[in-house]
Amino acid sequence: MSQEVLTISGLGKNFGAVTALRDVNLTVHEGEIVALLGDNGAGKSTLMNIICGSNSADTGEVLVNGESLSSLSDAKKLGVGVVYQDLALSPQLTLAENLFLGNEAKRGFFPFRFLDRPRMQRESKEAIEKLGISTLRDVRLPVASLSGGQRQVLAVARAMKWAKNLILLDEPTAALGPKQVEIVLDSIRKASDHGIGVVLVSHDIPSVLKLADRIVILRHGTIVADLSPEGLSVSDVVTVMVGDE
Amino acid sequence: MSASELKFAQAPTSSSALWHKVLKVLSNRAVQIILVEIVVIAIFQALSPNGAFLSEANIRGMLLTASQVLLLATGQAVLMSAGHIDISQGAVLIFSSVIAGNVMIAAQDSMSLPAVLVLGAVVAILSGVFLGAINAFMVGVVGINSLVTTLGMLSLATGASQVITGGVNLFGMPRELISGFGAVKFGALPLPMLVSLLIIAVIWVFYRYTGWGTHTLAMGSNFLAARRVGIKTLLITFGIFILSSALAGAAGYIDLARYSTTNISGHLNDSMAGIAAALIGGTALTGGRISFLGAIVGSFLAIILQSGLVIINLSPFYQTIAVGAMLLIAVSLDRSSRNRKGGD
Repeated sequence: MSQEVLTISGLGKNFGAVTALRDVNLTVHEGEIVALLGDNGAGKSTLMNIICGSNSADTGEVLVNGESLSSLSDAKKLGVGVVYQDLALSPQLTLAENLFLGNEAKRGFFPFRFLDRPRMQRESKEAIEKLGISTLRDVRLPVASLSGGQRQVLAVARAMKWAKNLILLDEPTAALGPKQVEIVLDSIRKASDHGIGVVLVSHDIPSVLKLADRIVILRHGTIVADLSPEGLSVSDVVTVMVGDE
Repeated sequence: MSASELKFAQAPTSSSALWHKVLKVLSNRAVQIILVEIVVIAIFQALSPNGAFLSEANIRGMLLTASQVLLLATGQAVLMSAGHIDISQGAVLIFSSVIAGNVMIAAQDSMSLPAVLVLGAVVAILSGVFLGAINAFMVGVVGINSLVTTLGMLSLATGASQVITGGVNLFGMPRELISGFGAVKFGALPLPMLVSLLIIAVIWVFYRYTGWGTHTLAMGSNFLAARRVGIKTLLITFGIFILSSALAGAAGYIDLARYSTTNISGHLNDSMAGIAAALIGGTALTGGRISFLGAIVGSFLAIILQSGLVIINLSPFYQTIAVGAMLLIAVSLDRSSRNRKGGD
């Protein structure tokens, strides 16, 4: 059995009187693609926010490669790449600046460590080309000038570039056309082939069935099913998601 | 295709490329302001008696005023690029000059003159740093909006200056403050102006070539995104508020060096001059965009208008109207050009 890259045990989270997550236990192994499904309000986003360090849990713990993760800086240190639902891009900055934001390439010696813009532009181009995208040639363009689909692809490229152990994707194909969906799904497979664990939240159940190794279903803040997608249909999944309601 | 045909076919392409370059340069806000300034200067020079507008004395006076406004506008531009604003700069300037003035008066009998002058500069800047750190704490830690925070600081620093001085301007500072700094000039260029330009150049280099500038812009562009990628937003918030107030402190020292006294009631609107200069120069109030050159030429535009209107003998009330009109025109033009391009 391959090594566990993500281990969640006994996770709980309350917002006032509302229980968002209750005793959630989940493991993701190297190269495994796990899809997190659930109806609106099931707790998917809360769980993703805790795994990426944006939110803290009330109980339980999150381990990445055996090390505790409880903040955004832990996530960065432990090589967790994230594609947020709102993409978390800075519109006025360029593609290259967004791709390297918080991880800028520098040259020189302290205190004169200056940005290495040519290197960042070159590597940004390579990262985007690696995804097979032909529409994002000029990495000096501001993100504000890109279409919704192009921005989504850029957010995926950024997460892929910095993820070393785990990648989290919250609705990564929401604003994409069929061709771009294929590009993103393909890049997720490539990341998994490189041994990176993937946790994916998506409402695109047909794509999830094609892509995921496991389907984990959340209902009312707790995991109600952990299924293999083999032989499952969209309606089977929906039935488990909504339960008897 | 023959060589001559090829040349003919390429001709429109190269001329259109040149035209594109010219249009690109002309679309730069700083260049537009410089062109406006050239026209305004020519008009004032033609209308002023005996060409007094471009006399050495008037140019030096404008540059001395600019040496202070430039510092304030630079601080504002950096803050605005992160989505913040500081309306307490004028009060911080007064407070810093009061503290530095008092320290210099107290120290001049016990210390050498150069040491007193240096001490005054250090105290003025540190006074600014202290007030800037309070602003940063309120915005970054307590979570109060920067406009509200600095509105409070405007009142606090003004009141503190009045309490310390009893409402009377300070006198008795070392004379060498003027002769050794404020009145030193190289041709028409006053030393305070050179110092201000040097400070701004250092800030620009660090903003443009280190991660600090990109991170500050990212905070103004999308604060949550900046936090999520691990940018130390609190540290930057402290840095930029302290910078803004330290620059106001430096401007306070220049004030002492120009007049050898404090000007307790004279600078309360200085923050507005800095904000207007940064906005006219193309820095976005909502963050994510900055122009240092724009802030510099924006500062000069207001100063040229004020000086010119005085020289051609128009009522001082028109100066205020002219600066306000320039601000509204510049921001409206910026808005419409961004709407045409699809905006940011």
